[in-house]
Amino acid sequence: MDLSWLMVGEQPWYRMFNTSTQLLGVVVAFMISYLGFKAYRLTRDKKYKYFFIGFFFMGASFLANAVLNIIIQSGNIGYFLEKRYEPFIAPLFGGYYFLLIGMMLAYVSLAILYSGAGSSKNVGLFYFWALVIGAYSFKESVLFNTLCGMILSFVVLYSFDKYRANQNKSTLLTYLAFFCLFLFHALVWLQQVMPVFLIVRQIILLLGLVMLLAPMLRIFYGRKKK
Amino acid sequence: MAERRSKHEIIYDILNLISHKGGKVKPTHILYGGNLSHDRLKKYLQELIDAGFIEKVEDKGKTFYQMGEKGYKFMEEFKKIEEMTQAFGI
Repeated sequence: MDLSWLMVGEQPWYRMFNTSTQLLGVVVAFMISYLGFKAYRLTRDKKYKYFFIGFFFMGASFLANAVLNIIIQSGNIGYFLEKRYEPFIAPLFGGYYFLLIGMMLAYVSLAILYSGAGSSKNVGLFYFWALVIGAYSFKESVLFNTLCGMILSFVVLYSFDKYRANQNKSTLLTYLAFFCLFLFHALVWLQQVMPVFLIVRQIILLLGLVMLLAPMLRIFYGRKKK
Repeated sequence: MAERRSKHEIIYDILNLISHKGGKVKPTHILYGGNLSHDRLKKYLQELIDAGFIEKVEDKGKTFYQMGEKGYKFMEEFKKIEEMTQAFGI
């Protein structure tokens, strides 16, 4: 029996699917970030600052990962493997590395926003902590994803609280989207023993991004009048 | 207890009131509908005029406040922001 399909991560179709999902992530995250930036410019409210920074990091991270995937697909990964892209040793690659761990910084931004810690003077410490932990855990996929999931769990709990308070359909969608992102990171554990979870995780991520996209499209293009 | 309105919410409420009355209203209408004291209303109206959101016009010896293009644009932008704020619960 041919079981080669179980090696999902090695398949070109999987890489294509992975890259497409990440490119959708770039569009969604930058779209939300743009709206957040406009809100910040208009109101000068700090909460919008963390909101747009968070989604900007998310978009940048998706973009960096998508580019990396394309490089792998085109067979030029050797260029990356030859160099140690440690942030404090090789600044050029460090810059790229920074983008790759941007996902963790994005979640830190969102956690700061939802917890209301934005008014604290030591908010820079959260970013510093995330940068250091992210940089040194990135090569260990399980650890990096677990830490991302832990930070994101705060966001999930806060957004659930917000949904319970206002019972709004859009808030439900964003809560479910954050929950999907949480599952995407948390299921990395199951992926270690069941390779099929590679694709399950990508489908969950895609679902989460679509759930984030739905209310955004409604905001950008307005509701259809009946 | 109702939450205090932010400055931008007050501005939106004033513009919304003018827009609902056909884009041109007497100051007393804004005073009653805006739920603001006379002094605060005067301050806000001056700010809106300075920003180009509304303009003060005289018609048959009476003062009116008329909505400008910038005012409508602000309302549109603010509505989007409000929807986003509600969607993300921030």
